[in-house]
Amino acid sequence: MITKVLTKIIKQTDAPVAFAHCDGPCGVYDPASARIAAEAVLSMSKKMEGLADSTDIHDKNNFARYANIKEEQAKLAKDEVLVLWTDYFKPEHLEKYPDLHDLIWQTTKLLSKAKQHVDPAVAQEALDNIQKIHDIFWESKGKDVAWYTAS
Amino acid sequence: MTSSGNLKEKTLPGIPPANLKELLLLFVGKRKRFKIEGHSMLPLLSPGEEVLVKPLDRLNAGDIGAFEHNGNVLIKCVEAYTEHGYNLVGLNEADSTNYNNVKKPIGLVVSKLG
Repeated sequence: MITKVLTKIIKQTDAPVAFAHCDGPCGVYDPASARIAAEAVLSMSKKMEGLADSTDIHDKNNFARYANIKEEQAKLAKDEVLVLWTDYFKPEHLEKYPDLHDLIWQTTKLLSKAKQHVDPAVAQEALDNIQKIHDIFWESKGKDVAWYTAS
Repeated sequence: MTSSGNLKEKTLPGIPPANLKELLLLFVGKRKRFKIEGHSMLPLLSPGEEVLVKPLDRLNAGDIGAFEHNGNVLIKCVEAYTEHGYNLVGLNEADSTNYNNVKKPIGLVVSKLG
């Protein structure tokens, strides 16, 4: 009796929702999203480097805008890589590609570094790693998808 | 390090209704309460049902657990624990996508609320 009364009292307040479904039921994954964002990081890093010595106020404004875009796109690239890691890749992929864990880890670290610094070499290294993830991803799906860049 | 089990060969434990002790543990903050959304844990857990979760740092294969993932809370069954995290599955294969390498367990689902 007391259990029922307590349960009724507890249920007067809303409980936080826990999801018993997936956040990507269509199963659509593609490293292209990470690649596009990482390309933007590389592009912004190069543009910022080119404006480093300028004292022109318009250049300063652009520098700030590029920094903002670099920050956003690096985070996006990192998120996209982590979604592949947590939602697509499975234990059998790790068995087949034993370096995959380290590759993902290093890529996300590089993307964090690309946010913290203005260093096109770091951004390029992150993009190179995303190409390796691309190769593994499509091989795991049995498809021959060539790597390309938009820029 | 890997601990795993074939869930299809295991008999999943039922989840009992919360007794007085569980409710008192909820009141003193020793249990967390969540409402289920989605169908992936049918027939064990239905949408709209509420569960109590015992906070734990480590879950085992076969456990029904709550996990933090991308800012959300998931209720799923642990298929395996590896050095990279938890591999999680739903019970309703028609409406579930598996998760791999999930890092943050919240705890073990120990009872249903009413």
